Amino acid sequence: MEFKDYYKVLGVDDSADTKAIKTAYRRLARKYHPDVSKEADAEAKFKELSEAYEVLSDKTKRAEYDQLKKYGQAGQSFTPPPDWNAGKHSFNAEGAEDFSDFFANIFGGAGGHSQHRRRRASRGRDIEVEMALFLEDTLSDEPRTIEYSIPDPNTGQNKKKTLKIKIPKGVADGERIRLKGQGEPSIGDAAPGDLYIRISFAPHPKFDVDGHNLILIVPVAPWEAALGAKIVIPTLEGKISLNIPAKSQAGQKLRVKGKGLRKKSGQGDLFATLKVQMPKDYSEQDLELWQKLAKQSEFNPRAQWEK
Amino acid sequence: MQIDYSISIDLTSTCEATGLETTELIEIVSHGIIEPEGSCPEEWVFDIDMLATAKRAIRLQRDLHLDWAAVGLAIDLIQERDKLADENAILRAQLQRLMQE
Repeated sequence: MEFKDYYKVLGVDDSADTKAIKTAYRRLARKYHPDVSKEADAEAKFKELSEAYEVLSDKTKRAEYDQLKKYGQAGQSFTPPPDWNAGKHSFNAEGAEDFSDFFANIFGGAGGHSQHRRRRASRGRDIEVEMALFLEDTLSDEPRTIEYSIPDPNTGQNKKKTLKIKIPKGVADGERIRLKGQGEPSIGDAAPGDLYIRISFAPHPKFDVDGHNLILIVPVAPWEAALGAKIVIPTLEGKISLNIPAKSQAGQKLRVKGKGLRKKSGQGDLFATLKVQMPKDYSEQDLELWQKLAKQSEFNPRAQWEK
Repeated sequence: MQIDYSISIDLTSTCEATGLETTELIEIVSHGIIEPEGSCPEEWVFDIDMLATAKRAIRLQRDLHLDWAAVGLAIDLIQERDKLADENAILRAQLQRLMQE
């Protein structure tokens, strides 16, 4: 078991008073709180902070910890002195089951693995799993198989579980689906936890998602924009033809009804945004034609600067 | 196997699902942090997103020692930030598509 330096975790001196400890905790908690923080290891960091604060903010626990600290050093293997009686504490703080083995050994059964959890009958924990979906998948009614692992609170072992679920129509990126009672099993008579499936759309090589609408950037030749054209564009359900009106502008949006993502009822639209693409290579004849146009045209693209 | 998608959830089930006390959930609703349908607690109907927001609210309240008004503000700002990040991601993706040859 590794010795934990709770003072170091909170970045305070071992002589810091309760007020300084509280301030340090609050400042770091704001920074690493998993609901606020975008830091990669926020959750682990926050657990460490909570554990350190739990001990150092309580006069009795802190005194005991200080006494033990004389025996151990951070990062080193640590065994409590033989006469140390870990069982003397009754401890049931919120979230304490996530605390480290080190905490459990000093302050009794609250931390670590199954010891604490087995003691009380409690509702099983919720489990959240992410399901990546291709945009094409959201249009299908095929049930999808999802595999996840649930820890069994009685044995501490992870068990694999498979479920077949139908993705509800009109599901949005980031939306959660709740499967009642499919989370971690409970202890005793309490209810099992729930399973939350968080939908995450995989980025698409062609389409961007805006709510239930899709956006497609459509490259067109300058003469297609000028003269109009009938072109073929992709949709999630295959190719369709699209009329580019004559005298179109770059950035112009053309709406294709009903070719977006599914809604609860009906379907969103596809917005084709025109991008006028210039050629990379020019033949002699091409250049001659552009020169002809340049001589003849009165178009001034910077007219608005001259006002 | 029968799967219960549970889209509309009443007060009791919401408390069960989130581990919140009824009084805590009432605080959260009275601060407008989540807005269930229905005019009184017995009639309230919650959805899945509200469950997630309620859980986030209680975590912030407990872990950061915030009062409910501050929790409401924090959640508004977090949601605003997430919305802007999403919008930014869409705009970036589109800009890249417009710039590439």
